[in-house]
Amino acid sequence: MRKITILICWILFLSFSLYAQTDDKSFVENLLKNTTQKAISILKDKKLTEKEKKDRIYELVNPLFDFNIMARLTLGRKYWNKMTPEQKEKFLKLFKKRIRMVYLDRVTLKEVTYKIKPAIQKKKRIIFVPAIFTSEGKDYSTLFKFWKSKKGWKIYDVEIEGVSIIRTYKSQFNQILSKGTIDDLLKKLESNSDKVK
Amino acid sequence: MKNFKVIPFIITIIISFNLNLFADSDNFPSDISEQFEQNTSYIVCDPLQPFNRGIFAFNDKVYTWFLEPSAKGYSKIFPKKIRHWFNNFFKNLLFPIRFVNNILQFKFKGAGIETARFILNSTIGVVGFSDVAYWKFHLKPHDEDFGQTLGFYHLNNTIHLEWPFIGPSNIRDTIGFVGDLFLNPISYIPNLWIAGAIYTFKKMNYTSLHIGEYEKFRRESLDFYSFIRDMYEQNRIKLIKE
Repeated sequence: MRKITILICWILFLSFSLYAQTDDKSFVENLLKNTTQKAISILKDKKLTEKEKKDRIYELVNPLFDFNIMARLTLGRKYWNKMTPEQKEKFLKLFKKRIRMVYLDRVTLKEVTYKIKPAIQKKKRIIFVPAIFTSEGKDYSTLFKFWKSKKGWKIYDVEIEGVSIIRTYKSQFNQILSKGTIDDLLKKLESNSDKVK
Repeated sequence: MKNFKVIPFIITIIISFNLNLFADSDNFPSDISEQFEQNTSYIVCDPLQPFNRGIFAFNDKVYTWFLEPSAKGYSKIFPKKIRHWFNNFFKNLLFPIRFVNNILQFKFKGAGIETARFILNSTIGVVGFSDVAYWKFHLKPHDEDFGQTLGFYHLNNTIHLEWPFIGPSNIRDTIGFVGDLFLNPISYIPNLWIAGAIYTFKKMNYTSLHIGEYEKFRRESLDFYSFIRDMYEQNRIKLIKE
């Protein structure tokens, strides 16, 4: 009797987690769809100034990104564990600022159409959502990589035409760190961020 | 009453399952970090880096001193529309490369669409000046080159190379580039100077449609060489996978 109960519970539990997984996929897909929809309506809003648009986009998109994990991934375990808490904090701040300036502030509306494709369950808590953005007759295939963090589903990397944000930064950071110290990298990030505007 | 004994057991399973799921989330979740640490196909093999950096610096000067200023001047004379026409014309001309490489990768649908595009654009599109196949018939290009064909047959993980005037490449794509020359109508022009002039014009015309992009990448990068190199290699991997 006991064995049967355990078995039933297991079946229930497994079927529930399976159900939860398909539910996760559509949840993440809809999350991305809604955010894109909202972002486009912000960009189309003629009452807003350019700066207001940028701020609203940032407010909208910011909770979707897991900057903590992104910063860690770009440095890699090897360098991250060597850093002092102050260095970590400074790096995180600079990295966040950079992503905002390089990617989010650049979002403009030039007759963009988009198509969000069905989500792919990569691993137990990793979901990829491919999307195609079309602007001026050119397609840009984009891949949003989500993971289930403690605070829910968050983006940890974006690939545009196969070029990943994390990989590109990781390789540059490694290049600098192979010759210099962590403070050199922080200095370089700080001075470079003045140029990016 | 017997059944109640099971409940703590189940709760333990569920809790331990959840703990296991989130145990490492404060530091490095291994299922995510392994995508960037162990996936060696994305780590660029670049033993010739000092040599490549030299060529890269040379190309950078060619771009900033000659290509960009001439493209800027040229774009003031010719409106964007006409420059797009030229761009379409050159693209249409390279149809043999796309057709043959689609076939070599068994992409018969792509080869068919490319053929339809070539016929439509060469006739209704006035010898390729207009991409009517896309605007009227929604036929998108299926770009394939010999470098991608070699990648399709698993010639990968090759050494990165920089070529003067051509830019980033690797062993695979260099072989591909040479292979494609046989299918490139421009290389059948007997006079080398004329062929070179056409190649330069094509490059200038293309640059005039993308002014500012290169500068933007330079400003935003921390190490410009590895930024461009990685962008090139990652994009090629994606194009091969398609």
